[in-house]
Amino acid sequence: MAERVLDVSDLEPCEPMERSLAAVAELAPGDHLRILHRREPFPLYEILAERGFNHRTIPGRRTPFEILVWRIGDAAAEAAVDGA
Amino acid sequence: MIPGGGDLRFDRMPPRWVPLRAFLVAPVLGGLGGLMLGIVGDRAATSRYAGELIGALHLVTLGFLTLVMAGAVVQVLPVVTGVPVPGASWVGPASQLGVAVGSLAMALGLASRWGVVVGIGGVFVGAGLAVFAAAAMAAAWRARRNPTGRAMGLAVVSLVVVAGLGVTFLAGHAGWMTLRRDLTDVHLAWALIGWLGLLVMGVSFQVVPMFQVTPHYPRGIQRLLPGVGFLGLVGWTVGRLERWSAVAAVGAGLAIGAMAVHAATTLWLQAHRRRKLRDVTTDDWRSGMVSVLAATGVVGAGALGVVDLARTGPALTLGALSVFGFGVSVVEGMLYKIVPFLSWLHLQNLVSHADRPSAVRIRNMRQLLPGVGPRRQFAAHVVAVVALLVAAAAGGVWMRIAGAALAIDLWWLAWELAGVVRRSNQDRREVLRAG
Repeated sequence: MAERVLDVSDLEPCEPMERSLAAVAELAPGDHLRILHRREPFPLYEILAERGFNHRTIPGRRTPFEILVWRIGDAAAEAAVDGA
Repeated sequence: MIPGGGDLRFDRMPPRWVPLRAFLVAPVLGGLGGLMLGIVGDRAATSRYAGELIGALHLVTLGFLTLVMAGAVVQVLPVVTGVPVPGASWVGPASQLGVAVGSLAMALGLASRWGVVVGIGGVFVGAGLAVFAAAAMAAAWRARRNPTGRAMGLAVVSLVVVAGLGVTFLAGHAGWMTLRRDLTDVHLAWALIGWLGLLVMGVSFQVVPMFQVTPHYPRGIQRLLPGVGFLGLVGWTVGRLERWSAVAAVGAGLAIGAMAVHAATTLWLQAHRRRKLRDVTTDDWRSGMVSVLAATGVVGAGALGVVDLARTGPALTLGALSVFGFGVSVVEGMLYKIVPFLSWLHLQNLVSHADRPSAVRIRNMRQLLPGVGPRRQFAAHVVAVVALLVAAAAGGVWMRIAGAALAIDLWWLAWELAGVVRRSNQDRREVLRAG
């Protein structure tokens, strides 16, 4: 179980979404992704759901928003996110 | 989702073709304005009231700027504030048709002194803008707590003033009522500072930090500046109509000061971009903001008695800086982000519905709009603005040169935007074939 961190806060559209989608596609079982973002990526949420991922958005420490992403049905990753 | 984030809500976007159609047709119409200037040449510079000049100018201000700006309101207002423009799927096409057909008819009628055609143009433009303004104001009122929503609402109120005066002018040209030329400056001020200036302010609060990766505008600027600009316009108008010179001077100072503060703030934000990559939108906006500051200098010189703004040359210089240096630059820059972004987002949504999303390759925004063409088009735009400034001062053959340069500028833009749609349609076919 590992947390992958992706900082897209200095990128302009559409790079944050492209890099986020590429990163979630490579998540191994039990892994989750923490995306550091400077705004809420609403279009990403819809696309993540359609591609089989859950997400949770929380206030960030280094950037205004952090989005935690894991595969739907991956209980280990979800437990890691709950504890994050 | 974090409540109160105040961020973009893309799920509230209207169908992509509602604004996209306006964004593609607009530069074609604006280029016709340049062509018209190129054909009539110096006749357009004989007076600020020359029919050829007013016709060509309105192909740019209505056919290009207003068509895009109205499309942007329908697009941005729901996305930023979560409040959709009511009836967007028919309000958009109806208002676009009215403005496009109307601006063509009024340009043709004014240039040929054909009163009935001018009147028909006025009816189309008036009806199109009335439909748009009613729907946009209803949405902006509901979104008034959001700085962008509030600025857009004030801009649409300004548009109603501009359009109301404009329609009475057209009725005057058509011979249906007395032509009130004494109100021309009121029409111009509400068009350039109210409709154009306040709308750019409202949109900039969202799109400059988002697409140019700058820090956010200070909260005080977002909250106060559009209101100060609007109140300044009201004060200047009342002072001018009632001949209260002190009130008019304070109002003008507030309205123009708000524009200058916004321009200076935007330039400062651009200087603090997090990634200083070359970007044509940033260059377009920078040109626009420098033009605002230059226009402020011209108005200041007029107030100090250094130049006489009632003379045709200085009046045309101020118009060239405001309409082409500011308005056209900023709108071109905005189109270079919005059209690829809408196309790319549409493709992403399509890919998500494909059977194997990871197997489908689509172009990103930079690939949908390769950088070389837009950079060269921007150079053509700068040449057009400079030629227009020279034409305003020197007249003669320069008006033809400036008109031709403007036509090249805007039709080149149309070509680049059409390329984005063509490439995204190629990818769309690939996705549908794969999915």
